[in-house]
Amino acid sequence: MKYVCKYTPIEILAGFGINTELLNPTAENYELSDQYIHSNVCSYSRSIIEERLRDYSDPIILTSCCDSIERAGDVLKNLGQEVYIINLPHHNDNCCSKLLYQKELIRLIEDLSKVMNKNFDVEKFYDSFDSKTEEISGKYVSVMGARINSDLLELIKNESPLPIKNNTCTGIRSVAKPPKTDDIEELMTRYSDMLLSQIPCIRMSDISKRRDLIEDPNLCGIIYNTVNFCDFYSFEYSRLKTALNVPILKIETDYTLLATEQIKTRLGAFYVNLVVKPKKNKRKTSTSHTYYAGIDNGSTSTNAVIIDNNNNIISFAIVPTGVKVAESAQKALDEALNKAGLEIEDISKIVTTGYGRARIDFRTKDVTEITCHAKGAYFLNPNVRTIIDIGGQDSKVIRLDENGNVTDFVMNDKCAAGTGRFIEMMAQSLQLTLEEMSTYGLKWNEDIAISSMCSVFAQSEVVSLIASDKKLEDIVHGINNSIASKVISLGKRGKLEREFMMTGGVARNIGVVRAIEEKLEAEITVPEEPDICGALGAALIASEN
Amino acid sequence: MSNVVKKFGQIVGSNIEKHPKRALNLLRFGYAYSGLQMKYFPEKYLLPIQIYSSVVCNRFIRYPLSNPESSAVVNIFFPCELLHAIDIKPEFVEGFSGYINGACCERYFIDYIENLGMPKTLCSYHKTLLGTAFSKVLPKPKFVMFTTMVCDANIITFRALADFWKIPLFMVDIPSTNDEDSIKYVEEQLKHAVSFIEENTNKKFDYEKLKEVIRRENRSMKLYKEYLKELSTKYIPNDVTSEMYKLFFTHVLNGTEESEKYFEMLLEDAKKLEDTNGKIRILWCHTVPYWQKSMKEIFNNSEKYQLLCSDMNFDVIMELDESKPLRSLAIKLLNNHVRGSADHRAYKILDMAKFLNADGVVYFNHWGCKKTLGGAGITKKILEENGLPVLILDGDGCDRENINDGQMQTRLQAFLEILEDKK
Repeated sequence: MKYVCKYTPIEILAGFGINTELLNPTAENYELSDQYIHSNVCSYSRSIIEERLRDYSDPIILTSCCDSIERAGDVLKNLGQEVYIINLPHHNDNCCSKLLYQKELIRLIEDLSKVMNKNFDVEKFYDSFDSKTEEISGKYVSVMGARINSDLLELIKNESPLPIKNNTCTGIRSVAKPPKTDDIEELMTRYSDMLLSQIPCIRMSDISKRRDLIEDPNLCGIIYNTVNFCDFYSFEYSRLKTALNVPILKIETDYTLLATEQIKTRLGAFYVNLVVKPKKNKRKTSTSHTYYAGIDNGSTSTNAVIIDNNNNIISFAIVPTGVKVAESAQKALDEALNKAGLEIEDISKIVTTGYGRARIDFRTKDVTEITCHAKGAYFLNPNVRTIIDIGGQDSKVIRLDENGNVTDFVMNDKCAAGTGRFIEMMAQSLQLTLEEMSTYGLKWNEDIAISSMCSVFAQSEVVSLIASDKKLEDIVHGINNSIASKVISLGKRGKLEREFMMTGGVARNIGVVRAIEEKLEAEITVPEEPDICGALGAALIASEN
Repeated sequence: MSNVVKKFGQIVGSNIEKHPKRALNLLRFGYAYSGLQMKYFPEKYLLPIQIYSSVVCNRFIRYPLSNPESSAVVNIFFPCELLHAIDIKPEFVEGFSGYINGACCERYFIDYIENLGMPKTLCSYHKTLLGTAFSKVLPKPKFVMFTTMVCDANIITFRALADFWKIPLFMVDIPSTNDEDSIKYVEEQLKHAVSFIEENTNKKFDYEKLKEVIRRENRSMKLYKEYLKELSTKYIPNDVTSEMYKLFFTHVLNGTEESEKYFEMLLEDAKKLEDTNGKIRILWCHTVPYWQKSMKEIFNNSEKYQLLCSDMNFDVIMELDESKPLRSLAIKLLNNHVRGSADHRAYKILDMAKFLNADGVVYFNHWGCKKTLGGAGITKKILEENGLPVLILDGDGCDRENINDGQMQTRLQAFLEILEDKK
């Protein structure tokens, strides 16, 4: 039988000889579940429906642990599936709730006895408590927050330099064995107490025991997992972020693997800061020239920069990213080599960054764009403390300390609002070129607000504004303000400290830069070639020993 | 939304970060002004009941802004009978956030709390309330009390509020089962709730006063049942805002003198009207986006369409037993049709749709309400299998920037056209 919640009395099921398994499917898509449940409920509950519709085998046992799971249960029951729902109280701190849950446990025993036509085996029940969980000694990274699918957990483990402890809501099931008694009602009273006394998930009334998860000297960092449309955990993350001294990274998934590449990037940057203190640049002592290349493979363009051993930029190239990542990278590098009059043999090391960084075979090593942007921006201006990078499909705010180390960063979610793609969509609606989009907004008269935060809604809002004869300049100004608001709001998740530098393709859009400056009430430095900051950082890393 | 209110909202919004007290004073002034305007210079087309409800709700929302020490923040499903019996005024999340939306400044508060890390996917009513509290615009009440009924956002919001304000918190857990054990469980918690109120007000709880509240509530619900009977055969002018005001009287104000008078007036007005046919009769599910111009244009005092009732305004109508007040309130909480499975709610909606002779149902998927969103498909299926057309309408009852108005309007109008063709 499959179960979904750590408060499920799986030991009772064992008492009937039923094998249990945590239901934790990774969805490929939600084609089937979307027919039965709204897409704005928690992605995990959608993944359950999707999995059950594709591969229905065992009955499933749910608890009323959250609104979305309850509704997933309703949907599955309506589809004729065998679903057993246990009412889970919110109180974990009073005797009434323990008594109510005890009644639920007895009801389960009675129902199973009837259906299976056999008695509850107390010995099997007790034996099932003996299964050992994996212990981790020494320093570790904790994965906290909402449930996490096994593929993502595996990815986190594979990339991590330290052991990973799964402290997510279903990862820390720790039910103590209740003291022995022959009286089943009394046994269930004790068992109910043990179940409700676990380290609580955040929907319970008393969550003070969750402190155990963070008050541990061996805890080196936290990867805080949230699931799309599960509202429970985000606020805990924000509080921990300000209260704890260990690094903390928030990730969010929709229970598919669609965001894996972005999460890999975040993990990469997080792990670098976790264990490796960035080394100081060591200048080459040799008088003969050695060259290094950095390649930033972004969603829209692939950029290459070549520097020499004195960190002088020798040449750079910007080419559109094609379907094949490695080919685009090769093209950018060839162009940069050509401009510099160099051959590939002249390049000592090549560091790649960007989404496709790991798929470029001729790289010496790959580094996330967070680290590379930081490196590049700090090289260009050591006073920079906040980098605002808006690329084709990502926007990021990266914070640096006085030595150029990344202290914090935030990235946009999967939504395209506030990215280069958003500007392209708007330009298309307004029939303007990207160059025109850059300057039109500077000549505005009427302050129009594009209120929708969603790109798709915003596009229809822009179409309505065109239909109501609003001036293009005013609409573009409204769009610039909308992008500025989005990126500032993103940045406010951390601290926004002067001086500011803007990088990425959108930094070429003067209107957007001005709009962000107005909202920040501060000047923003834009490098001469804002697109190549990441590639420059990669080249600088290549030049380090 | 008039430009004056828009400007007012902008001024409030521009003050919340640096001058929260100024923002609060502006809100107090704005609501006082609109209350006086409604009392002395109401729009001519409004019925007496619409004016009365608007004035009472305005006063009710304003009170905690000036008298926080005798107020408690609650959710709509909290049994406020307990608070009325001890003269503590409830400020409830849905009503208060609705008023913030009325002042056209909800987005500033939503932005504020989202920037502090509250998820965007949380219910907008809750985010708005949280924003007003965390920005220090909303003054600290005496305590916070809530039920876990129907909405996960409750535990997130009310715990965060109590932590932030550092004030006592009380939760009444409403189980998803409804049997004798569940009744006892809730009743026991209500006993503790009474002790909690006594402790935090330094007053002895007067059960006689509670019985008085319950008697008034019973009289009110009797009147309301008669009104619904009148509504089943009549066209009774309604508007989207009044339907939201009705939520105050069927929930947090139920048992008060104001509420009894409201139901008296409601029935009186209904009795004066003749039986009518030919209108398209719409039953609404969940809250009503009363602030949306397009919704107002379609429903407000419409000659063609009768907005009958929101299902939240008949979620539980029952006689309470004054001799067992707490047990009775426990049963009332457990009998609420928004509690429990989606099928349960759908069949209650179906019964009422039949009783009120509805032609169709609009099921409003308010942003962030996972129970409603998750039950949409099941409700549509059950109602349509029983011959009742359903429109699932995605929207937001509180955040004007989180909707696609044009698309909503098109969908609603197309649905109404289909119903007209059928009729």
